[in-house]
Amino acid sequence: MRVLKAKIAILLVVLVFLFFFSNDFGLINVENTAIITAIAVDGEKDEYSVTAQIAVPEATNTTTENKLSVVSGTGNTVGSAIKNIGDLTGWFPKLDFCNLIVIGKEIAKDNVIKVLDYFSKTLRIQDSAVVVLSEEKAKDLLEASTPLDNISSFALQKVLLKTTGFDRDVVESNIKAFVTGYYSVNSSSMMPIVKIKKQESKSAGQPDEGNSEGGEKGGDSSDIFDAKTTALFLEGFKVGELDDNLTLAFNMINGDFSGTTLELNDVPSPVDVSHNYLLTVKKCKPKITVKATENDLTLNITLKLYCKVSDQNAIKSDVMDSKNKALPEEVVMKTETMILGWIDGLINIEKDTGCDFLKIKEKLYRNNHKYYGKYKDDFLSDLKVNVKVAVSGQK
Amino acid sequence: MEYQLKTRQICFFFIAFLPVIKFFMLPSVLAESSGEDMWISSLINLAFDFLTLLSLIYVAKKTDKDFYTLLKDNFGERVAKTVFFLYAVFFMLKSVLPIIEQKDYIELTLYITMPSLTHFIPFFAVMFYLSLKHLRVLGRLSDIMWIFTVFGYLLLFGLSVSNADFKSILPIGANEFSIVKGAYKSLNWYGDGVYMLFFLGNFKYSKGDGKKLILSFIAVIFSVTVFMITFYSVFTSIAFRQKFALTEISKYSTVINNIGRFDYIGILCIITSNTVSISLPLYFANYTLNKVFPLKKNWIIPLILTLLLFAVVLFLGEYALSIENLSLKYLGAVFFLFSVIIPVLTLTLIKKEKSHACS
Repeated sequence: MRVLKAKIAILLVVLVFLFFFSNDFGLINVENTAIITAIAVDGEKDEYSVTAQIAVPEATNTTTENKLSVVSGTGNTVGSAIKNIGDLTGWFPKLDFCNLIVIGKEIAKDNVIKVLDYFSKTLRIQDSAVVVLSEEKAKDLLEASTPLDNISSFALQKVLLKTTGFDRDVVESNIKAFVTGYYSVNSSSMMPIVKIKKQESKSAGQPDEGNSEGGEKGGDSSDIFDAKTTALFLEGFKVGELDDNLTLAFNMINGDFSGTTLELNDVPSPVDVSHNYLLTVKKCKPKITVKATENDLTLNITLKLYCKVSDQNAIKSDVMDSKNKALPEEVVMKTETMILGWIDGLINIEKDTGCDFLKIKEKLYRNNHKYYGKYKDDFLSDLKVNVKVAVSGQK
Repeated sequence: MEYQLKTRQICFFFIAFLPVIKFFMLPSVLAESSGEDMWISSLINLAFDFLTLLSLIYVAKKTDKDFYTLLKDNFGERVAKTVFFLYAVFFMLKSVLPIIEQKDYIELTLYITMPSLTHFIPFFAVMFYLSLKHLRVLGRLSDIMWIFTVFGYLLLFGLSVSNADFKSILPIGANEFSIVKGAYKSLNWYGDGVYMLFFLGNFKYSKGDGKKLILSFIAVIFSVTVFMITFYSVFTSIAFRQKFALTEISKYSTVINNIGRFDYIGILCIITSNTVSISLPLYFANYTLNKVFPLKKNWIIPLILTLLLFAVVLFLGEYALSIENLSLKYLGAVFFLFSVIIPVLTLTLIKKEKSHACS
């Protein structure tokens, strides 16, 4: 009996092994797999045109880069367009490594959630992938030739995902954040707008500047990216933009801002002509609260910045980052005035567009739920605003 | 009298197997019904389970008899067998949805490119094998598996907490109706106090055991509530769309982005514990049917039950949505009756027993 049991057990183990090891775990042949690094979605005659930047795995005994391809497919839905890419190329489109989704400007004329909802719902892609709006066709961004990286989408991600040591001058947006905003009580979302900036550079091996004819012909254009402006969406429709200063101000009152620099121009000096300064924000403590009562609704924004001077174009000065010197009074004044102006700008844009990117309605819902019913439909016109900005340096 | 379980093993049983089954589809079901108050719905059901547990601890304190003997002594063998048969039906109903949910989870997250039922067949083998074993084996398993549960839970919680916006659960209790609705719809995943009913008479209750059992169950309540709050805080307004909470909750961590999905170590630990957890209803269905139909060949009933569940998964796969709707909308009352009301009513059997003793 014991031998019989052992035989049955062995048979079961063999069967399980057959199930699991006879099909490479059900994996698709790596040579038929297209690893998509970025996707661009454009609107084309009532259809979606999806362009995928693909890193094709290729056996090699050198350390050269894998071949890169940009292929497009069209379809009535984003999912069918991606499927068509696979049909056209014979590759299985693998989206696990896709970290960037670019939306074309034509798409932004309609409700963009029609596109982004697919990426939010499918389990094939990480919903932490960055979402951006292209100023032109989305495909152009993937086809851009940039000196920053061999793969344009990787170069773009460097601009979009600012790590420690870089200015927080680009708004953070990924699929999850965008869709969460869309489905929240304020129905508002945002994403960076990416613009291609042409940059003239000289190709290697071209004649030097001494040869004027050769110099002109040798000028080669390469692309760099600017993502400092922000697109605002209300219920999925683009309703406005934040310029680079307002994007900076938005990041300032919303999160981790330390390490970011602020430029001050023409700061009057008591002993010299006006100076330009570069300040580094060492600490940033924002606080946004909404208080509702029976009679009014108040938005309170308090911002405390601790800054140091990184640079200034003075003839003689020792106010600098490495020394514990107090910030000049005129710098404090100028910085506070500048930031107050930016925050006023943010509030005006919120009122003009109706896009609640400051999440006032959400705060009303969460923290003042008793008055939510009273103010929810017209909270922007009833809103009173108190803003306090305090800039300090070494004391 | 030889006892099959030790109190320590029951405590570990609670910690190992009761929370894990709630980390898969349940959070999205709760979020859909109760929104930011999903954790309150969960807490209500856990409070009922706690009440059940308290009642049964009291019963264990007063008598050494098992549930079957209590029923037999009070109402006769026929009633006892009928109740046990009904419990077998209840356990079979309770087991269907979690198995379908687990199958979907395995196919859609671990084997995305080639979903196939064959990948899930070994689970039925494990379930069948486990149901052949005595409670003693379940106790030993609990002694080991709690480590997997605790490790997996702590890893996933540690990775997800940094992305949680805990203010998103505000306002608390704004919509009472949706809280009750969520609690009712999710009863399939709760009612775990009922297992204690079948531990009665199988462990020796000593002084201080009540405290140990209560503390371990409080640990379950705490861990599940924290998970629900964290889940909603990570996903906020799109929480209802996250069908497989376990895979999703930790992936936004910066360390995951930099290193890769090592959170799957924790996920696999939880899945390992959950394999036993979703086998428990079948285990106890077999346990109850063995009392009703005591057969010499103890493998016949579990084989039939396993094949029955396999047939449901195999042939009714296309009706998964209907099964889910049936379970969520209509079976809540059945689950509540068998997992809360009847176990609490067991207290009355003690009173009768006392009066019998007096007379």
